[in-house]
Order: sequence, then C-alpha cells, then structure tokens
Amino acid sequence: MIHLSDESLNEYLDKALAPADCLEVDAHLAACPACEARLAELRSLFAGLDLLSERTLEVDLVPRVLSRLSESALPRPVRWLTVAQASAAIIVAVVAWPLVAALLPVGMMPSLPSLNESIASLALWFGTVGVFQLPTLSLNIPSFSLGIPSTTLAIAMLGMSFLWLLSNGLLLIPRSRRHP
Amino acid sequence: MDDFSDRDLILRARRGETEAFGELVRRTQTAVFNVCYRLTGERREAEDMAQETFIRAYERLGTFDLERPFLPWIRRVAANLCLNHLSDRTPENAELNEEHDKRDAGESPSALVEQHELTWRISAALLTLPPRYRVVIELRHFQDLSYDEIARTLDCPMSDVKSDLFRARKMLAEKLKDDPSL
Repeated sequence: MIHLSDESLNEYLDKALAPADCLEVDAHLAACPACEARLAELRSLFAGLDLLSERTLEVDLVPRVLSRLSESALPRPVRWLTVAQASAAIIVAVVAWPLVAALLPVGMMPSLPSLNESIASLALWFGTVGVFQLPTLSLNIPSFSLGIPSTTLAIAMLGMSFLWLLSNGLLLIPRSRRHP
Repeated sequence: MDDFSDRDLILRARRGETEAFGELVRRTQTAVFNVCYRLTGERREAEDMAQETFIRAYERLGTFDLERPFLPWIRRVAANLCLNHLSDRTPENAELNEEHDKRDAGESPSALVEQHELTWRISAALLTLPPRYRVVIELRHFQDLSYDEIARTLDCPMSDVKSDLFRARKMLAEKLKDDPSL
C-alpha cells in the first residue's frame, strides 16, 4: 500500500485539499492504521498549538507610540505636501522678485548689499536664459488686462506667495499638534 | 473615540489626528504584542517590536485598504517586522533570549499549573525553530491565513510556504515527542 505523503496529511488538516482529494484521503485513512496514526500525531500538534493562550500586555503602548509619533515631524504625506507647496511658494517668490527689482524705485530696494547682489545675479541668469524673458512678460500682463499699476501687482504677488506659504504651513499642522 | 469604527479612526489618523491612531493602538495592542511575543519569546523585546509595528503601520496607513479589517493587517505587519528582526539576529542571541523567556515564565505563578507548563514547552519548542518557520506557524495557526495569504504576506511562492510550514510542523513534533504531556 502506498501511504499518504506528509503534504497530503498537512493539506488535509489545513482543509486545503480539493473535495475529490479529500474523499480519497478519507478512504485511505479508513484502511491504513499507519497513516491514521501519523494524522493523529499531527492533530495533537495542532491541538497543542491551540492551547497557547494569549499573554497579557503589562504596559500601555499608546503613550509610547504617540510620543514617538510626536517626536517625528508631520506624517509623511503631509510632509511631502508641505515641501511641495513651500517649493511652489518659493518659486513664485523668485519669479516675482525680479519684477519688484525692475519696477521699484532704486530707493525702495532692499539695502542689504548681499541681497542686491543675489537678485542681480538671478536677474542676470534669467536674462541669459532667453526662453523665460520674465520681466518683459510679467510687466505687460498687469497694464493691459487689470489696469493695476505693475509695482502694486508685483508687491502683491510677492506678499501673497509668503502668505500662502505661511497659511499652508499652519493649516497642514494636525489639529492634535495645534491643540495638544 | 470609543464609538468610532476602525475605518473612521484610520481616516482620521490619515488626516494627522494622532489621538485617533492612539485609539487604534489601544484596541489592537494586546493582539499585536502576542504576535511579537510568540515570535521573539521575550516580553520586553515583544513590547518594543509591537511599538515598532505601530510606528510602521502609521507610516503605511496610506496603503491600507479601508475595505478590509484593520486587526489582521496590523498582525501581518507585526509578523513581517518580527521576521526581519529575527533574521538579523545571530543564533547565539536567539538562545540567550530563550533563556530570558524561561525566567519570564518561571517567575509567573501560573507557570506552576500543568497546562501552563505544557504551553510553555510548546512556546519554547517554537522558539527553537528558524525564524521563517516560526512565522509560517504564526500566520497559519494563530492568524488563520491560507497558504495563498501567507505567500502574499511574506512575498514568496506558495510552494515555499507549504514547504516551510510542513517542515516546521515536523520539527516541532519531533521536539515535542519526548514530552509525555503532549
């Protein structure tokens, strides 16, 4: 007599056999004490595993987990969104700044020499990249369509970009972090 | 928070409400701890692994399928995390932790009861298995996953799952054979 394989016995107890195979195993077990004994041994192992009781957790993990979460920054999706919006705000500010530099009277320009230098180099860089032509393009839009002085519009754009950055940063902080 | 379903809590946690996630931790921490305890065999280590499981789960909440129950998912996360942790551990350390477990169980008054002694022997025998075998036993016998579900959880072929599971049972049976109480 060919005995049942270990795989068949395991799958039989795991109820993973097809119905037809299951019937075959049943028939074999009825006629084969050796396989029946192997099955009983496996069954007793299953029963032993079932005896393992759940342990009691002696500490509360909630404060630990929440403490770890508060140590880290914002959740990953929020962090990503914050970085994306901050980047967008900075790009808007950078785009608007040459307009301000071009439109504002010299006396109203920021007095920090380093800032002036960096703006000048940035404007120069924009100027060398012919595709952008930012000052010319941006100057035309307000005077034709809105009738708002270009200086005002440029300052408004710059201010709004900073407000956007600030307000988004505040909004994206979870409520639980704002009101611990 | 008690009235919220797991699904509501997950949605809130995804929006950054850490209290909502705290409630999920409160509801599932014992189950997760038990997964880690069965796989590591040491209480403190299991607590640390359970904590890591929740941190990992929080980071991956975005990938959780809201149509499925939370508890089986987090238990699978715990099993996977423990498997990685145990795989990194040297065999010497595993034996050392087994000794810790003996002390842990020995200090408990319930260890004097015969049935607890038997369950301790089974737990101890489980801990002698290679980590991968321990995990398939955990997923099949304690989390009631099918072969296919285990394969997906461990990201391996179903033939490997069967092979590991059947070998694990065989090794376990051999280790317990000398134990007359089983």
